[in-house]
Amino acid sequence: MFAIEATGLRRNYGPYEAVRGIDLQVTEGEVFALLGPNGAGKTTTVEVLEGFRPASSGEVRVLGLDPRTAGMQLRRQMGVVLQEAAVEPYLTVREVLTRDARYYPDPLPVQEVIERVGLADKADARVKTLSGGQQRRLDVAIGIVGRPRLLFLDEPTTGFDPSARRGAWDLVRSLREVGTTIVLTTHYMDEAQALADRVAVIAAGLIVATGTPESIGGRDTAATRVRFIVPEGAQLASLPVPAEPDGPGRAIIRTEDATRTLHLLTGWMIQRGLRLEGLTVDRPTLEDIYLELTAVPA
Amino acid sequence: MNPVALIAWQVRYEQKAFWRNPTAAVFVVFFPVLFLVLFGGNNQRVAQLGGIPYRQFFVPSMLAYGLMNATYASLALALVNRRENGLLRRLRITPLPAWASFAGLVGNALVVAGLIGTVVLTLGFGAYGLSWPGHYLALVLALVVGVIAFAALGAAVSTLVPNEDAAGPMVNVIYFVLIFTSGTFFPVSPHSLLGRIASVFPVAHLNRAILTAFLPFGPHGITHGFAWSDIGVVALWGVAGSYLAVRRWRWEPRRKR
Repeated sequence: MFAIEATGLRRNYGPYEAVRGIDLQVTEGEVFALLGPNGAGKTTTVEVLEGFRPASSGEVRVLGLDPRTAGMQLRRQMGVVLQEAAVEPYLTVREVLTRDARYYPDPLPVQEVIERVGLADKADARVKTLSGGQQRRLDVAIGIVGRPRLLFLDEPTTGFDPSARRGAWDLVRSLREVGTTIVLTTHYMDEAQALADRVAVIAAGLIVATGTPESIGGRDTAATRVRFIVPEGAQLASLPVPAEPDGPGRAIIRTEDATRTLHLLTGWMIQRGLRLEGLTVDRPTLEDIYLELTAVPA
Repeated sequence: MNPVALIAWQVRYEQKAFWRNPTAAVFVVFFPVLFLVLFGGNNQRVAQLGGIPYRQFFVPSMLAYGLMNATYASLALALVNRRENGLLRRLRITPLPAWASFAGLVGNALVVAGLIGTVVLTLGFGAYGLSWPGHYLALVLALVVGVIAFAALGAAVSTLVPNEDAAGPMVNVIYFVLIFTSGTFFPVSPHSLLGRIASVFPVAHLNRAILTAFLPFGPHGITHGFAWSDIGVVALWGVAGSYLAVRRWRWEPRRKR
């Protein structure tokens, strides 16, 4: 069962095509991250799914409904955490949540929501006295108070300090555990890596890759990278495996067989009494893949 | 939730927010009362209105002023503020219907206007010897039409304001120019140039509609209380305001951040 299903989704603004034919499936209960540079069509796509904007063409189903026409029926089951949306400054955290909870058929208990977003000691503070990070947590609280089946999070941790970020991540994980489908847009690759079951990368209005954070863009099958500082007295050309320069004094070896490469390399070093400093062995990070996928062709 | 309970729920939270905002509360509620206390003791008579005592003119005027404060001015400023700060945008993602949110705001305006009215009339009757209105029904009609029309005009003007910084100046310049030229603080002859210009706009007509309800005798003898043409003009402006507000309505901030 898909929480979101889009086929051939297009959206243009006059002659400009912001989204140029996207196919998207989000399974119920998964955390789905949409990655993409600014202007890639990420926000437009999400706004179409939320029912804020009609698609220019294509089929879109959200929780089995057409977001253009479903209106209240969809909004009762959906939570949205927007990037830029204020809250009444003169109401308290508890008042805002109590008021909004009543709009939903089966809301979460307000106190529980306050605790889950970590605003317990600010529950009776007026919104205008909250810090930026606290206001963002209130945004998240408003997004989940209706016990949504589907939650859209638009860059939910931008501006958070590391511990607030961890808190937000824990919250997303706990929502996932109770079966909430979550669509997340983010600029932070570690966030996508930590939270998402699946990732889609959007560039120039098209989805250029989808997959798990571990496998997207061929990450799991990509060559392993062995990097190290070239010891004094050693020459790149004399190494037992072909290496390329990787910045001043450093070398990189790309290999399909890391075990053998490392064995040869370290054996060669030991034989000559050299030390292998600054050694790292890794595969391309999600960020590397992302940058590769979204690179503008020169 | 049934619509009435939902509107009541909204009004309740609008009320909380309204009274906690000191600027709004002072300008909207305190000013009409302050002006009444400052000028209500004037013992002159108004020749232009058939020699009625000034207070008989001024108390109804402050009632009209308070009504416009609570509706036009409050609503225009609140709506610009909510649009530019993204509150309207947020509204669209909750299952609260837009009509209920707007009804909450108008309901809040009604409560505030009712309170101003009560204070102004209590002072008027108690301290300034205002005569009881000649025509209660006419008064109620003038007030109801006034509240709805000026709420619509507040919404309309909010759509003309490009950003938050411009809201105060734009809303208030329109407002105070009309208030002073429309004979709110001192009577302006409808036959003077100023009076003719002002009578194109709704403020002068609201003033007259409320004043007429209080006058058993008008400048031309016994009045029937219902200033139909004035009420009609106010209502027409309300219709025009609603049309403009709906046509130009935007949920998104006009200023790109």
